[in-house]
Amino acid sequence: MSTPSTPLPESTAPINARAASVLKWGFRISAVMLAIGIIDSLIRGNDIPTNATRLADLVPRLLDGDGGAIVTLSIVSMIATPVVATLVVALGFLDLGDRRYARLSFAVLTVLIVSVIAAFVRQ
Amino acid sequence: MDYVQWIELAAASASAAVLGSMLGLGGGVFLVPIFTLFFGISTKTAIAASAVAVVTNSVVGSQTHLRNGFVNLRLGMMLQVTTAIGALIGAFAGVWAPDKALRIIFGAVLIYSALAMVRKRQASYDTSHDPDPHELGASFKDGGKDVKYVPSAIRTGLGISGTAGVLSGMLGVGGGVIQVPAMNLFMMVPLKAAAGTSAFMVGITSVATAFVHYSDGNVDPTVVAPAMIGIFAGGKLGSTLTKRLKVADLLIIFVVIIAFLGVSMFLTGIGIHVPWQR
Repeated sequence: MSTPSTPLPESTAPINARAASVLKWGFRISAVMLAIGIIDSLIRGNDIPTNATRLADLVPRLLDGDGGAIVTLSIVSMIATPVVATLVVALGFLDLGDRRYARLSFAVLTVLIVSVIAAFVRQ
Repeated sequence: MDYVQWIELAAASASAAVLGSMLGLGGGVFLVPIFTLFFGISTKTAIAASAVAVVTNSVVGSQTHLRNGFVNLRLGMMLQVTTAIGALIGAFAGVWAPDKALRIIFGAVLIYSALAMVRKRQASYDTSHDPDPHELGASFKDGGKDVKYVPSAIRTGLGISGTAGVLSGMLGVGGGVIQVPAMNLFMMVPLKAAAGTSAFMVGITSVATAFVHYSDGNVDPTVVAPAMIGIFAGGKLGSTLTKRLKVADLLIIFVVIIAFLGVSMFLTGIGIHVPWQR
């Protein structure tokens, strides 16, 4: 008689689906903003700058309708997408009652947030 | 706006994404040397662009892996702890490191990757009866069959992931070239699950690199934007081509490309000018 296989922990399929949705929408939002930024720069005849807009200047430049700032926002939103996905995964593990992996996911999220804060502070 | 350079950068990024997705890598290993050698872009700007491109490739590519159950989120989050810390350390080291040192390290990593691909082998184990103290076991459907596995050698995996994170943060590559074989050969994770989990992880790993370089003023939208457009197109094309082509037959070509780029980066790093360097 063969040995029964090790029972698996509860499936993360619902969390996988939620994370996939976050990635899908992050991609869509970033792609649309990239297109808007490039088209805006072309229409206005402005060159896209060779330096990304600083975070501190991003909102005022966006309010001015600056195409370069919209391209920077597209880049920042793309980089931020995995951060949001990690948050969704952490919350998903909490929903599942899996505290160990919720804690690990929040630890990863903390490291990511430290890198974002470091970026703000250095600017 | 230099339209010709935009088209060239987008085409180069699309090619890197196609090659990367066919090999189960993020594509970053191709982008930094292509940008620096053929476009005359500074190493740090190339690393920043590559990091954003790796995030983009992961965001585009891992959606399918997540839905197909190839991403083991528990394993990914556990390994990501040391990978993310390593990436943060590596990113700051990369910002401070001299340009030539980065080229030498990058060249060495590419040459290692080429050798690793030559020796690439796929290991398959039955771990479904192994004890699972960390509750990392998972399953996925493969050709109608239910593949069940329990990852092992967690400490080894955490150590390798930390190293992959440092290199990834320093060089703007995703680290898949180290993570996938480590998960498959040492942790006994089936290749599809290793590639899927790694595809999701590299996006998270590259966040730290991208933000640190953004704060340092190395993110150049005239390089990053065409790279992102190229990745959008190349990522999709790569996954379509993977279904039609025999990747094993093309492996030797990829090894030659990587070895060529690696040797070029190494030579320029030690101050030897190569004729194709712009």
